[in-house]
Amino acid sequence: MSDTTRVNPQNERTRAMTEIAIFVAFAFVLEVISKIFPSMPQGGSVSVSMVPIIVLAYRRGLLAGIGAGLAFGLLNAILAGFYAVHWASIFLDYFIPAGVWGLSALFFLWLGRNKTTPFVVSVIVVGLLQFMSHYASGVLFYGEFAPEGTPVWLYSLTYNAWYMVPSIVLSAIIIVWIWKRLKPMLTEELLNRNLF
Amino acid sequence: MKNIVIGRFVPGKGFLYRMDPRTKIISLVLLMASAFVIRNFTAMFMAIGFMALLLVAGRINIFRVLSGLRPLMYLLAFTFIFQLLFNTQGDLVVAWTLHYSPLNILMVTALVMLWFFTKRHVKFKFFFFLATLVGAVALVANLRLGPAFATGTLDIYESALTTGFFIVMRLMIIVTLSTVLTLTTKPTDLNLGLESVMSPLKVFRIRTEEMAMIISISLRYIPTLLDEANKIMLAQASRGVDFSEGKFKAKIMQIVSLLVPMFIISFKRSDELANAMEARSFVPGQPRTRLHQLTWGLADTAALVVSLLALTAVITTRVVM
Repeated sequence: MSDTTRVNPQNERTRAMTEIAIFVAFAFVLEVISKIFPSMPQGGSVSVSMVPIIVLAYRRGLLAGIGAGLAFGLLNAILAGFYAVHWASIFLDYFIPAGVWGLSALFFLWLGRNKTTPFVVSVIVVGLLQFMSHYASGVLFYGEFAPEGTPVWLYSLTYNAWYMVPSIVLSAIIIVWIWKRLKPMLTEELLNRNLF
Repeated sequence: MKNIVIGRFVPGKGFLYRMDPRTKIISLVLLMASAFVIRNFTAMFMAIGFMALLLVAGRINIFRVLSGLRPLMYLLAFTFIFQLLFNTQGDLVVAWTLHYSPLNILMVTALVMLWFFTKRHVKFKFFFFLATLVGAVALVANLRLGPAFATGTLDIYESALTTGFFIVMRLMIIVTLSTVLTLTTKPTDLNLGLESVMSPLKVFRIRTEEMAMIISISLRYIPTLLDEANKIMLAQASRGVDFSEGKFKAKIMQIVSLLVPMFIISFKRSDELANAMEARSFVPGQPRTRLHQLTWGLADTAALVVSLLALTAVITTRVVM
């Protein structure tokens, strides 16, 4: 393959579009496969779907990452059993949790791009942001599910931590684990040429 | 893996299938909003009647809608029971004395054992579970076998019943509505409709057509990638990896072994797709022609008017009453 395909900015835009689309599908597939882990009764399960979106944010930047996250949230709402008790909980449970994954692009800007540290930091930070969004939704809209005597914030905190903490730890471990294999794919020069 | 339903579109006839996706999306939003607004019984029963009418007139298989509700069943039952036990406002409706005597406990244990061993042969597991639960409570409340070593009370208040009823019905209506939308609309049509509904956002310089394009490509490639993932899993299963069993650590290893090939496949697929699109002179942001045009019919106007009427009616009843 020649290098001329990378010159035209329009082509680069098409490339970015297809990459976002395929990675959103990839994240969704991971979400489906993650069902091998036990899931929670009122929605939410241990999943590593933030990994592809973070890799996408690494390659294509902030806007692409956030866009991909929002698209993932939409697909997740349409395809994977949707429910909401309030119109705002749709945003707090589907769009914002996935949208914040794109913010990881900022950490690659600040912490550099050649180590696993920015990946781990961004997994932890965006994971916590996602957790906070679910937590806020729990406090605001799911108070009536809390057992009697338990404060709502404690209920929401434990309920969401129960699957979010394993998700964050798992995603961080996995990124560190596959970094050696992943890195050659992320650099433009090698991508799609020598690897396959 | 096989039993994961994607998109849940089921081909069929009926007016809902012929309707414009734009109408269906807007009506869905309007009707959902009405469901959130409802606070009194007459309106709720009318809403339930409306839903039944919609399902019958749209010739939708009720069992498919029920299967959409299935993951919610335990949540709904849980909510309702919590309301019954802990909501203590309004008048007292039921006041039962519970007798905990050895024989009673034995009976309840027998009932639970019966449930446990027969549940795999019963078709409607959830209702069986509920029936067992109610049966156990009724047993303890009404039978007085032998001396009781402890007694308790079961008080159910009016507000518990009404609040529980409203929460459960509202959730059921919302889930039914969204199930009806995904049942009767192809994912591609849904995406076209979304693009069209989102198009006012162009004012804020958001590229809606590119977003719609991205979502439709994702929708198209989810089954493909699932298939690829399945192939990788089969290939690794043939080498001795066990995907269905294993402890937490084993499952992590399975995910890791899946991820690297999946990354390679995704990069490759997106590169090929971009090449194919460029070869067909795709230019982002340029106007494109469509094979299937959306058409707006009389039924669509009628549906919009009906859902707008429903929303206004619900809001007025809430304000007036």
